[in-house]
Amino acid sequence: MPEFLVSLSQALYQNLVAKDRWLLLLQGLGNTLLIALGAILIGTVIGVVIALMRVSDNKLLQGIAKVYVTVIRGIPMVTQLMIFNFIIFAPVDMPKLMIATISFGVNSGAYCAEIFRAGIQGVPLGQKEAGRSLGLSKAQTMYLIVIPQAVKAVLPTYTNEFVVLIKETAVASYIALVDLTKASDMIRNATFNAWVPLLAAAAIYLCLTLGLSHLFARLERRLARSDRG
Amino acid sequence: MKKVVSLALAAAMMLSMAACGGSSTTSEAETSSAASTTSASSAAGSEAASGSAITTAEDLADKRIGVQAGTTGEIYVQENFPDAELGSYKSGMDAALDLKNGKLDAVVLDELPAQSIVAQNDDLMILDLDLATEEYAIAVKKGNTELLDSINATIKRMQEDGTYESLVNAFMPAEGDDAIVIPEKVATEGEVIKMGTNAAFKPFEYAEGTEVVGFDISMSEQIALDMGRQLQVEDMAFDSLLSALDTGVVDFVAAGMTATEERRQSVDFSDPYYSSKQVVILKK
Repeated sequence: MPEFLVSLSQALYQNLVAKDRWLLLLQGLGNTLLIALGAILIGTVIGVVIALMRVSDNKLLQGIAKVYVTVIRGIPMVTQLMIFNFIIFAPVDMPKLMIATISFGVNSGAYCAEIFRAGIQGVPLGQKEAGRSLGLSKAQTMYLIVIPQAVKAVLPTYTNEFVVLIKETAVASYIALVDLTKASDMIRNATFNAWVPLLAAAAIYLCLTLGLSHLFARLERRLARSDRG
Repeated sequence: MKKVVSLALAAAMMLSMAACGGSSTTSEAETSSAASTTSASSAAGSEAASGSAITTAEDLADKRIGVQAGTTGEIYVQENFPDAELGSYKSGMDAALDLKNGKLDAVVLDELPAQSIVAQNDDLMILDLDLATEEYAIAVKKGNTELLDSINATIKRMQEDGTYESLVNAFMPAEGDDAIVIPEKVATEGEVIKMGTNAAFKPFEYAEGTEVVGFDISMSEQIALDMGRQLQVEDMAFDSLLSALDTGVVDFVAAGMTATEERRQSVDFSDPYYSSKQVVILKK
């Protein structure tokens, strides 16, 4: 075997197999997924609420939604995460995983809200007028006519938000959580090898985001079946 | 093919969820047992009793312990207290903050940075349990004997001509951190030599205003001066330092780093320049 292949397989063994290091990566991946999934759920709920507030006629609700989006979008995720951990949830004895999930969810909520708002406002006004003139109430028009069309329109950007979120969780180690990045850091720390752990983590992230994009692309195609040419 | 890939992906997700679910249940169990100890001790009637439950090293075995990522403290806790719930923070101060907030039971950190932290926080205290003694040294890439010899020569020179002692007096005054007098920056010039450090380790390296200062910085200035090179300080995460050395991002690492056997396998260390030990920080 050529020499570089020997040293490569040695490095792979040292960094991934020895001392069950792959298990550490797997655990990190689990935390990353839990945070991302929990956060996108929280984020979607918050996003829907904030987006509806934003397009409502009530000035107060509009204002609250606007402030929320402005504040959350204006602060870097890492800073928010540390504010949540070291200040807001400081007196509460809560698992770190939960703190991180809530923190990422609140952050994602602001972005989701803007995505959903764009989708709702992107539905032609004529659709709404048509709904109203058919005798539907304002709420009925929203739920039966506008939102179904908006959902289809926002799907690509919503996927993007999910992908961004998965990558953003890489800062979770700031509050001493072992996510995928931290797991690769810990291996790097034990073996002092930069290549294998970092590239392994990168490959896993890439697989995750690729798989996700693929899934959503299928959903998009399915939804597009009802489109007229 | 696509089905196989997506199946594999789903399997990996399930597996990791399971792995992590398992770990989180243990942590829950630990938290609840920690909570019950706290309630038991508060039932005993003393308010300050919650922190003072730790008096010997054995008491740490099942506690929530914070450390700085990549330090010997982290390795020490991993090796000696496998049942403890370990939190690795970006800096000792972040760990101390979670200790203050009651999310940790103890922090294991090098003596001098621990003293700096306790000096700034009235509700924290140090418990010296003689956990581990260690010696700080400067790390260079394995095989770089030229640089290593030069560093060793400077350390020797500094110890002989009194520079070392004056630096110790300047950065580790007996009166505590407030009495630190930062020596004037020594101008160095020539080809750039990059020093890697982590500026969250007072008094060895820390940020003062916009400058990174500290014992290690002043010592490295002397090293650069002797070599006729210009010193450039690169501040990065402690657990990135040795891989930065390995990939040539920095030329040497001076960061209050202990010369451990494990680290010696991948880098070369200079002669030791300071003896330290690990201490435990507790809430009063």
